Amino acid sequence: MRRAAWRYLVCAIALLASWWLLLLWAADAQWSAPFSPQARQDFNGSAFQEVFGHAEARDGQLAVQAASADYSTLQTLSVNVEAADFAILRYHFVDFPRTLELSLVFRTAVAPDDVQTISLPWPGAGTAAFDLSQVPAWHGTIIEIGFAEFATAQLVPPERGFAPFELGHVALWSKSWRGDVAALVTDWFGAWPWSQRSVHALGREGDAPHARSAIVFVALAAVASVGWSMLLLGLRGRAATIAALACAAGAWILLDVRWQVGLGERLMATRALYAGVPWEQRKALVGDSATLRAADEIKTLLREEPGWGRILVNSSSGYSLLRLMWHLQPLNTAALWRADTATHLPDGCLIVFYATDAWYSDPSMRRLLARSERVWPQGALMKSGFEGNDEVIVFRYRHAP
Amino acid sequence: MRLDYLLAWLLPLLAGSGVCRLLQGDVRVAGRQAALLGSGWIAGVYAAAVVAGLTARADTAHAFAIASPWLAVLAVVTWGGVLLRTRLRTAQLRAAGMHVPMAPLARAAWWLLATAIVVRLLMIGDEAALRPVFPWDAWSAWAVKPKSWMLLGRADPFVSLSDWLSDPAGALRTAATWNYPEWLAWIEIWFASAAGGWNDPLVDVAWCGALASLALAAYGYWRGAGLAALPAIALVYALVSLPLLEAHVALAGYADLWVGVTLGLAVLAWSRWLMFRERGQWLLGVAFAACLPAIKLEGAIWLSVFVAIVALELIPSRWRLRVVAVVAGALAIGLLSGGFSVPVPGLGWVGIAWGKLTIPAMPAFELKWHPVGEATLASLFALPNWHLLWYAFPLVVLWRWRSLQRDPAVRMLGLLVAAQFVLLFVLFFFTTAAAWAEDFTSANRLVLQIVPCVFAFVAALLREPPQASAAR
Repeated sequence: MRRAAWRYLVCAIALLASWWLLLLWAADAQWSAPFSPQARQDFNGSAFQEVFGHAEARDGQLAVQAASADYSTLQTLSVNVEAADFAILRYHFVDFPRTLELSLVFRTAVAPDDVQTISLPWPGAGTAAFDLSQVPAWHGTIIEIGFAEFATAQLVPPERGFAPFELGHVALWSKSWRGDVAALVTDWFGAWPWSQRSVHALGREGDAPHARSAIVFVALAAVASVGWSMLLLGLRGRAATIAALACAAGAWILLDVRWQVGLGERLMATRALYAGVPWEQRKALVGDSATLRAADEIKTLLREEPGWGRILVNSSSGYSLLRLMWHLQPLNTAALWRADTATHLPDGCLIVFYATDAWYSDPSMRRLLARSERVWPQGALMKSGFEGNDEVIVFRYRHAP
Repeated sequence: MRLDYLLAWLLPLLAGSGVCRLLQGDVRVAGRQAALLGSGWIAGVYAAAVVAGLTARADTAHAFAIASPWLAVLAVVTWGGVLLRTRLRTAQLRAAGMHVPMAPLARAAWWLLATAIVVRLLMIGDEAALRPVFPWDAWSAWAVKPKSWMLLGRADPFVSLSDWLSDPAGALRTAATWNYPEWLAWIEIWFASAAGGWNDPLVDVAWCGALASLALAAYGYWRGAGLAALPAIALVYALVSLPLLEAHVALAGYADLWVGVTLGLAVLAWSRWLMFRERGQWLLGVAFAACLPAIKLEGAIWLSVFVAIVALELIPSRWRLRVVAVVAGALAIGLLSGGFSVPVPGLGWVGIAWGKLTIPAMPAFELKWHPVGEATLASLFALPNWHLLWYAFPLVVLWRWRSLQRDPAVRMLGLLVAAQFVLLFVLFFFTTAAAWAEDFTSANRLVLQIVPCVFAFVAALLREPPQASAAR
């Protein structure tokens, strides 16, 4: 073989070796770990028991056919494994709907009453993996594992999230290069839904620790590629510049393809809910459908009120308060964050409490409402189920005489 | 699709491109049409917002019907002016970036990238066109006024909570964001009224129009600046492919994209002045920059930085250092004598004192060091917001350092971008806005606003300056 060909061969080997080492670094693989797992525990989906929702064992899988009354589903399995020995979780679902979020739940022998929850990316069609060694709660003896599914928060109406799916197969692996790289692939390419964070900073989805950054990996791989090309192929000047530009362009395109795949997954989730639905129906398909229903209820209740009537809104969270105000438009609303912010309320204005018990549990609110009339619900001192999320209490404010 | 809604997209294009064309003069240069269409649509949408805000306050539901004749008149007058001038004058033909035949491979790459851009815009546009408004500030801040005005049928004034409570007639409205600029609200009213009622997706898809306009304008300006077709489209692809930029279109409703697009168009037009001394482009650049405070409060800050650099550039080069020294000296004296205030359009009198910055519409910023380097570096270099932009940017500057030294136009653009970075650095590392960097909230959105300027600078670095730019 000619000398130039040898140099290309050596360069190719150096490149592949560099990329592989970088990949292992990104996967946080232990150098001493074996290539394949030394120990593994496999569980058929049918071994899991339904806790919420309705499921049936079928051909070794667990067919989850209906959600519970609160639209969630949960399947669990009693186990007895040492967390340190089994840090890689592998899971496989069939026909998992894009409108559901998936979480791993587990309990430990040390704290059997505490249910730990870890958000997982949408599982897709293949087998996904997750590195549990980064999760602080995954230690000691694990006595139960399971999966919880619920409509994607703030994106999908809870009542529209569920569709039948099957839990195919679950495995726990000991640490190995293969398992670590599989978990890295899931972390880098897993489909996460849009969230409120998405317009601020991408890549911070879920509550679990993430693997090392794909951006840093690709940047280092590009630098290594240019470095080896210059060192082993003797590229200098214009040739080195072209090689650097080609590496940068290739790296950028790789990252962009990865981003676009994720974008496509998110678009398919959106289309699963909204495509082909007329706007009149689509506008009701919101993640906080309960708040929308509460707003409609209030609008119906106040249909006889003059258009200029002022309404103050209080709720247990900023999200539900602001969303209720959004759905109440065009009513003339304002947020009532605390009673002391409303020292000079106009006589006759309305105060709406939504999903909160502040109207009776907060002393300052009780003082504020001392002379007010309760408009809704009338008659009963305390409506049945008043702590429910959909509950609306309306007062007409009256000044102290 | 309603004809009105279609016209709501086309009329701004006609009117805005007429205005831009009138200002641009008769210089025929590569990419002119793309620049005209891109900057024209944004200019036209802003014109529509202004006209709707002036004429349709009492009947917002018919804002499109009321304002569209004015826009049609603007289109006829401006294009009439263009035709008249074309008859009277002979167009100047400039060689910079004019048609150069592309090699087959380069042509294929060009089409591949153009297709990738279009596909991307269709994907994020589809997302925006399907979903009811989703991101927090979109429904809690920016769309509060337009939605209530559309549903009410009139634009009742928004006031503070105390004014709202003390209003005897109850004819006022309030929101936490009552004092936010209303231009974006009128853009939303324009599209909603054309759609026949409040319709989140049909309003939000305008964000896709804004990004597409920036892409078109950037391509046109970069071609006109002397960049070949392939590097120009590659840069546009790089810009449009940035994940956070795309997230702001797919999850439309925030004002940051409009600030970034407007600032980007201002810098693109100004760069043409820097390179070729086209007065019309200088005017266009300043006009776009002047729109910034009407979009978002921090637009006033970007306007101030832009105006400072534009003014500096107008000063003969031999005087610049002296002027900078005098201004720096005056600032130092002002600080040492207990602080001073400067008027900033859109913000009012901004107080600057040692250790404290006071902006009327915001809480006072205490100036002290905040160690947010880790979060900032993670946002820029590790999280998937910007692909490899912040790795590549300093390398391109180093690679083209000679161009930076040689070309005054590039130096001025570099100075503007450097000033913007310094401002962000001071904001995140020396004020309480550090929390925005630490909790990964507003910091990236502020970076997003200057990203088109960074690309304009990179494009200027990459071009081979023709002889004309060496005049100054």
